[in-house]
Amino acid sequence: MGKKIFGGEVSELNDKKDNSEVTPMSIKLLFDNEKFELMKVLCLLNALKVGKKGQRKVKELLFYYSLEAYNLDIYLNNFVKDFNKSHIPSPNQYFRFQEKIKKIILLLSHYNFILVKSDMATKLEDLNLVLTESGEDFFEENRTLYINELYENYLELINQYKFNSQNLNKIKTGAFMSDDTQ
Amino acid sequence: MILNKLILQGTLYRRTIEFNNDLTIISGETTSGKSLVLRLIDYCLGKSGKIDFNVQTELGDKCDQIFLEIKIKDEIITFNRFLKEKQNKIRVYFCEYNQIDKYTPKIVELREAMKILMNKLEINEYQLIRKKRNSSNKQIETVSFRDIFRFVYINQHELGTHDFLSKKDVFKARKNAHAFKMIFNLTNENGEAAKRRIVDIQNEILEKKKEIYGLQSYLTDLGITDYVVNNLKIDKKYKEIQDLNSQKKEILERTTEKTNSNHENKMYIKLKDDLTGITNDVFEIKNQIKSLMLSIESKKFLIEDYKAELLEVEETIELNYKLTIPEQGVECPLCASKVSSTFQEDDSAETVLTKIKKQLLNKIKLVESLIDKENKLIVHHNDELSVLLEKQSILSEAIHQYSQKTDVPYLSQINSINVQINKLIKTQEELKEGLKLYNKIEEKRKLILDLELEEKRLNDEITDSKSRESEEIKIFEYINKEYKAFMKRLKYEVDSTTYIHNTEMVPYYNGSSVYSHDSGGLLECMQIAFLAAILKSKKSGFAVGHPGILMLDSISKYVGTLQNEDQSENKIKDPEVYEEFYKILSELSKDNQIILVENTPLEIYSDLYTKYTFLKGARGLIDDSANEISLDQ
Repeated sequence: MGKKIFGGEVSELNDKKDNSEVTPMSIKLLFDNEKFELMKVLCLLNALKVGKKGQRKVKELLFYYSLEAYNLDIYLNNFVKDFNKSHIPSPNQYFRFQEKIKKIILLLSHYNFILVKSDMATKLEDLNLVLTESGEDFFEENRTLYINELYENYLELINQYKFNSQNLNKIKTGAFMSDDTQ
Repeated sequence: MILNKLILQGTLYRRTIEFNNDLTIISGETTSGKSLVLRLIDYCLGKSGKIDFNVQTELGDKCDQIFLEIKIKDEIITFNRFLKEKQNKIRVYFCEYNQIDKYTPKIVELREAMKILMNKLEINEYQLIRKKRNSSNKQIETVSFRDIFRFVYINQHELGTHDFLSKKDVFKARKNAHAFKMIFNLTNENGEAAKRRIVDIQNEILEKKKEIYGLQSYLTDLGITDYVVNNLKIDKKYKEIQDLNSQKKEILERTTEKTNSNHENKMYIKLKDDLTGITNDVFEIKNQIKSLMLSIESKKFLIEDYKAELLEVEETIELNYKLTIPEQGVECPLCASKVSSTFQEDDSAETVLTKIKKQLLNKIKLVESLIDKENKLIVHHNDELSVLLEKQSILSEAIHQYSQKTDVPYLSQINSINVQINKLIKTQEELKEGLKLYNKIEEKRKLILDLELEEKRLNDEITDSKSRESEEIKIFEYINKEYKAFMKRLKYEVDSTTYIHNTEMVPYYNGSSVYSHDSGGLLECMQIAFLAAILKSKKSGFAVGHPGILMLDSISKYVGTLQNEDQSENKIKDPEVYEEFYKILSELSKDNQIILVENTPLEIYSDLYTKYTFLKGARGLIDDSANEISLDQ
């Protein structure tokens, strides 16, 4: 099959070695597990559907996905007392995921799990997505224990944090309130 | 001048050798240190060069410095010179040896010290101007006390040889005649040099006066104005310190009577030591347990991470079946263009994923087993810990019981006495400082007087050159007469060829000088007769420049000393000569100080005058049993 691209450059070594990977798969999976992420997005879409049926902006997806995956909820909390400074999650991950979601949307559309209801002029974040029946079905069929837990997590987050530009900003900038500015 | 005593001192050793005012004989075996006594006197009086401690090993081991107490006219001075360091300086204390802690010494170079001696003896140093070898430049040589001292101390390698008066050392030998003149005050000092010297003296006197002024104002600043009162205070403090010391002693004696002795104290000490050991071990183990627990905690976190990863991998394996990514690519829903495949698809995905899963499981197992091991180790440590803690409490109890029984001696009392003693010692030191200052001022005053005397002498010399010639004739008449008389006593035929040369200033016999004859016995007799003549002339007022001391090492060398009982008429006269030496020396010692070092001195004189007999080895000059510093001081 085609060349594997890693890090943006195709190295000669890769050519010679007949498609062998530079990184071991186990580590690659930590950063770039497409199928897994796809499933997660599908799960999120299903969770979002609970509250409100209809279209969802990609923005919203990004928001909740990042909250869950990268523990960025810290920035939305008012208290930062018990905070271990060495474990601050970086808002950069939000932006990284922004890139990945393009692929995921393409795949989801290919499998007919979603419908993309926008035209070419709209920006990525403003694209409207609708969950299809087959998307729902696929989700239900493969609702493992793990996925179920994830689903519950998402529901909680959706309840806890409202999706608005203020919150979104907080995540993006990574600024959080400390005790005294409370 | 009279030598009172020679003190050899080291940190743990001190020995004092005292000298009689008349004749002192030091006898003893070879290598016992007899000659060393004379050499040390020479060293202390400014001999250049160091003492070789490879040869004088006992001296080097035990001693660091030498003191020589001298009496000059009415003044007592102590010279001090270090043996191993700062050997080019002499420290002059203008006091007796036992008083030196009340004085600050004058630390001077060797030459300066010689000058001080000359001044005290009231003779002026003499400067020779001579041409430098192989050039037309001139240089100044000083004839000093060291040159005169060659007539005072004759060591065993010079007596009876051609090296008499260090003849073999050209630089020294050429000053001998001048030294002889200086002894008899026959030098014709260059008037110019004398005048220059006078100016120097006057400047020095002014300097000293300024220094005295400075010291006095310092004294008043310290608040010590009255010498006598100061002294009394010092003595009083000394007595107070003595009292306190005896009090302390008494208390200590009281307590050691009560408590039974070393035995119990040892046990107490052992208990305490054990207890400290155990406490340390406990601390160690607790630390180890802490670090183990920390390690376990972090491993637990690691396992959690692994488990989360595991879940994801399992999910991925599941999804791997369910979702397949198309090879040809995907169509964009908006613009319907084909997106080339940059998707992950791997035929071996499944196997890889399972492999990964296995690896993770292994990792988790590994970490869990490590945690297990560490837990076991913690348990083990905890057991150890409890044993130690038990021991600790037992020991603590034991010590507690023990200390309740023993009397801890009146510690607080002794402590307070110690504090008082320290305070007193401090005040005493301060008062002593004042005393030293005072003595320094006195010393400088005396020095001024000496300088003034020297000035007068120089002035006299300048005005006084004519009468010198007649003096010279008288002197030579006298010493020739005495020299001949002594030679006769020593069994030599005396005639006009026996004399003291009036320019070479050395003795002659049979028309040949003391540096020409060969017989050791003859040389020795000539030399002793010569020196004796000079000494004797002191009584008649000549030889003022001679200190009035004679130090001789081994006069028996060239003279047969054993009396052979059944001798006929032509018996060997040597033993009689030997006896005559002693007679002469003891006569001279009535008015001069004579120190004689001899292996086996003549019996009669030995009984009278032998002050020290040194034996080989441990009973020689460096004798531990004669050490004046006892260990419990």
